[in-house]
Amino acid sequence: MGTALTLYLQVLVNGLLAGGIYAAAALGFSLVWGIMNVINIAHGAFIMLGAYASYWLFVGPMHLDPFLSIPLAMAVMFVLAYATQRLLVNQVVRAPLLTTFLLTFALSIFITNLAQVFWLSDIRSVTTAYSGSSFALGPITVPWIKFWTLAIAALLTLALQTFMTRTKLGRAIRATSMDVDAARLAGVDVARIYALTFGIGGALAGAAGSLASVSYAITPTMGDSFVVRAFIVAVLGGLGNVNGALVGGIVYGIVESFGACGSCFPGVHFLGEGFKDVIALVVLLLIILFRPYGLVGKATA
Amino acid sequence: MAARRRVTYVILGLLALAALLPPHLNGYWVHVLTLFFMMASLAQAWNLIGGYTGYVSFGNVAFFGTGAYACAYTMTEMHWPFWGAFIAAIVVAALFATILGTPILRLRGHYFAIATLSLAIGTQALVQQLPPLGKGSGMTLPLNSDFHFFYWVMLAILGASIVVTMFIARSRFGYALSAIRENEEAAAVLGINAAVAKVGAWTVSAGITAAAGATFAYWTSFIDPPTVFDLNFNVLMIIMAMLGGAASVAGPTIGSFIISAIGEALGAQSVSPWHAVVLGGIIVVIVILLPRGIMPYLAGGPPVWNLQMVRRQLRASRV
Repeated sequence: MGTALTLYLQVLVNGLLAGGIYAAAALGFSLVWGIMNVINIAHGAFIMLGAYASYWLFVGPMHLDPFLSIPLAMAVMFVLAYATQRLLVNQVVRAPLLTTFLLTFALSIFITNLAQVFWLSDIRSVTTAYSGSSFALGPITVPWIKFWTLAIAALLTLALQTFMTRTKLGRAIRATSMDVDAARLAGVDVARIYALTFGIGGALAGAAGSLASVSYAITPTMGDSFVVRAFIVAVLGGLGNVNGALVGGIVYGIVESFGACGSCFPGVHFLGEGFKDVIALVVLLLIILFRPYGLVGKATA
Repeated sequence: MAARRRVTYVILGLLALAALLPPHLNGYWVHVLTLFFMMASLAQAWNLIGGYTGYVSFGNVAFFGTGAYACAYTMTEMHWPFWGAFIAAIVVAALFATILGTPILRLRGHYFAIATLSLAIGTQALVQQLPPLGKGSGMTLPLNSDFHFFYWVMLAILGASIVVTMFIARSRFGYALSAIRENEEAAAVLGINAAVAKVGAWTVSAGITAAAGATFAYWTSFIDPPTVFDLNFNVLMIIMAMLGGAASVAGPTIGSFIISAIGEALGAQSVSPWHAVVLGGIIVVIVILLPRGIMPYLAGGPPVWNLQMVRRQLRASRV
């Protein structure tokens, strides 16, 4: 196989694998946006808290593997997000968009800086026994961590999809997103459903944080870049569309991977690592201008 | 309405008095007040697009940075005097807003917010890659240590932004913007060219923002992308405008005064995360308890401490 082809394949696979974490980060964000029409800027702060939860469990006496601490991080973040919705977000959930946007922005500032007070800006990381190891797929190298991250993101997507379509609670959540008043008339406790939805969104952020803890530097501000990406991926996949988040995450990972690959396009000098964010944002702008209903969605009135 | 107008005149009067202050102030207070005038101008500028027109822009900081860099480039590379650079900064940012506003202002709600947010981040990332603008390492401007000069320039920008807002609010253009905010389709039916009005509002907003950015660049004599494209500027603009009262002539200046005073009380000079924790907490409280800002209360509405009204309003926005 030619080296050029190998390079392209490797970049493609890297992007596909990177998409796992983006999908995980976007899943809860997209859910909350789709169901409650709330853009939760604090989602990044929730991801950061999930990463710290896994970090402390890893360095603590239990020495718990970050992949095994996912359920614990999810449980902690569920409770925190549930309470946040009940006490704060719910007070303004029917107010104009700007209100909830600003509220979650302020919450994000609050949580991030509180983390900075307690944990300082020190860069922490989780290094497991298998951190550097990978397996070969022909000429392609696949790191185990990235592989499991993508696998778990797919698993979370499947679990959420099953929950939303097969359980009574999931159906109540979807009914609420379609018509709050009709759902209430049908006996749905809307306040509880909103709190649950926000809680599930928080739990998914916790899971994304655990996954991020193994491959990203853990700092109080690590969530910021995830929020922007979660937004892009949520829009790419179509709002509140559970499977869309996974597809969007992977598409975005691949676009970013090629965008950051300077040697993939000989003669084109403006690409490369430094332009990663510019490319991501240009892609986002183009999508929301031309396909605001997502790549896999349909235009509705 | 008359009460609101009185508030505006009182504020303009206070600002005129503030122009007489510098000889009596020490360097610290000159600095604090210059910064307050700057933030208030940014909030006033934001109010034109975010308040009156109802398009929540997270991208105004891009115009601040553009203004700062246009000023730095024309002064250092082309050796223009400050006032030439100042005008150039306003023109460049206004053009930038007109060109980008045409596609971006077609978006609404969350989509507009996030598109402008990415505009801000994207402009910063782009500047960081451009060699003539010093890439990420910033630009150094000619030194001017006459800090009273910057005090007066920032004060003049603030005064001008309030007067501009006053005229816009009473003009056909201003009514068109309010109509767009309330119902864009209905506004179009009434014969308002919404696209032109929105881009116009954003362009004026960008011009004022860039004037402040250019003055900031000359004032600090060194700029780099993380400073002049700091998203916190943008968040502060919104919070200040909201706290004072969005879509009111001088509300943003009142909001800026309150936030700046809180910052001073917390010790703004020591950069501590606690400062941001408290600020974040205050914003949460403001958003929940005063979603329409202070202006309605100042302008003869029921007092802030009318708990019954606060409770009624809270009930309406819950599920």
